[in-house]
Amino acid sequence: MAKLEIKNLHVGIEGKEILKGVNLIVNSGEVHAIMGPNGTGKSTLASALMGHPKYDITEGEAYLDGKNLLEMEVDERARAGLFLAMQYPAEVPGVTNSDFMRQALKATSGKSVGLFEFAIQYEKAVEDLKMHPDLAHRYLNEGFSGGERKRNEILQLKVLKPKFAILDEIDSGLDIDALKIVGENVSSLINENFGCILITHYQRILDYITPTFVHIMIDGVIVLSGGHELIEKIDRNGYMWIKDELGIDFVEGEE
Amino acid sequence: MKSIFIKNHEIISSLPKDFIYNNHQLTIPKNIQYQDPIMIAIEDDSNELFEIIVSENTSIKIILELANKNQNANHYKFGLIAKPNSQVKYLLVSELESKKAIVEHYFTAERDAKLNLIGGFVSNIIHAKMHVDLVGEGAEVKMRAIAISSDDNIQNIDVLIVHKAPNTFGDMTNIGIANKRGKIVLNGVEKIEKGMKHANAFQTLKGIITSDQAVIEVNPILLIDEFDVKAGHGATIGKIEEDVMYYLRSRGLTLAEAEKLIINGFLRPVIDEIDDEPLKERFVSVVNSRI
Repeated sequence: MAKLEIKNLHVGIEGKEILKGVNLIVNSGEVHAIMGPNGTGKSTLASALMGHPKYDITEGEAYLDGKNLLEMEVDERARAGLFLAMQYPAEVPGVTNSDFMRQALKATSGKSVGLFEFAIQYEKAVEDLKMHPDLAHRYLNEGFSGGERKRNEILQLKVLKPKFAILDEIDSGLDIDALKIVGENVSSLINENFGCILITHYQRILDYITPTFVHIMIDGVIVLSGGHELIEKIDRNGYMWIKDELGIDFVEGEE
Repeated sequence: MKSIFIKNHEIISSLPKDFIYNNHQLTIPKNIQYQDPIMIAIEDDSNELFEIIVSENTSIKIILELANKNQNANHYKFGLIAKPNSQVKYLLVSELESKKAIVEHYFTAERDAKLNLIGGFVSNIIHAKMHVDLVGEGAEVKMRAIAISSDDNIQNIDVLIVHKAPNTFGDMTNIGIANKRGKIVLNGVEKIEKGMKHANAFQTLKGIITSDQAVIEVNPILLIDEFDVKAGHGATIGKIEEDVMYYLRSRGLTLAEAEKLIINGFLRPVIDEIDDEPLKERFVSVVNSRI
């Protein structure tokens, strides 16, 4: 049983404050969906927790099993058990998926993995995600379509088996078949040793992954938390009802 | 792998069958296809000169190992003559700790000879010249010069290919990787002389730096004195992208591991081209010794 704790997190970029005090506790076994209009800081939360150098933490705390995440380097966070499925994963020419994944698995698991054992595990994941069998030998994300990149992120998640994963808009740009594959694969990972923060703009992915909690983020804070009923409400009415119901004024911005 | 050791201008090991060494000249017999590479090693010898002659119709792979821990001035001068229709795959490993090393290497390709040359430079302070003359019609050279500088290394690599016959082909790819306070200057010059019709000359120069103190300078130059030729060149220099580093590190790789993976990826096209396993392994170990 693991715990990810975020307390009063304030995050800025180039002097502009984006997150204005986010509080969230995620236990393993839980799925927390964070929804909200564009530009409200959902992706900033994901990047700041992973430690993207562009973001400045101005206030607040974040702990993974009691260990202070914010004092760690990016790779230390990963080795502590945090995983971020990125919205726009980088291309790395000349580095094959399998070389990269084998090294990443060694780094995060702390033990070296035999080539054969790794190949079996990797090929199984490739099959589960219905990706092309030559994926292992292709260069990391180079020339990948948007959908392939996202599937490759989930494939990495399956192989690395972290304690917590943040999925940053893993559903955007996916066609309905890919969405189903990605959704079902993520859903199959949820167990008592794995928890997940699902950042999304749309509710479609939530047909495949059932969230334990749903949070709505507006203008850098979580304004409303609840269960499945929030999804239905957003599905029917969008986000504008929040304005009236909570008396919050906001405009949809750019991501 | 057969090895030939040279010290104080003499061969101190046995020579492969029918090889002749005489007056600084090593002659490799004609009409033989050698499967295994031959290694020539010059160790702890700060001043050496010799010439290799690859005779007609012979194909051979050679690794020249130049390693010296002596920090005094070094001066080496080597030659290789590829006789008509011979084929040579050649890896030069320059691992010199000298504070002032000069390495001059002259190659000559005669009619229809094919040279596939790779220089791996992981020296301290060096000025290296890799000079190729294509003197016979149909002669070809593919040159790959890779320099990696770390700490306070300064490596100057001049690569020159001169087309002195028509229908010749020259292609160079020179890559510099500098980390810490390392410096690399890559000069790539390709010259097509007048009347050398249908010559092909291509150059690619690439540099990557991993720190703010590292310096790379690339100078791609084409000198063409003939109309009926094909030629092209390009140069790029860059830093490792922050987002790429972040991505790899977000999967648990340390800064050093991520850098190593990215640099090996950058060199992948050159590594993949080497079709001989021992040469490839040696090249990969050389480039990784400084990363």
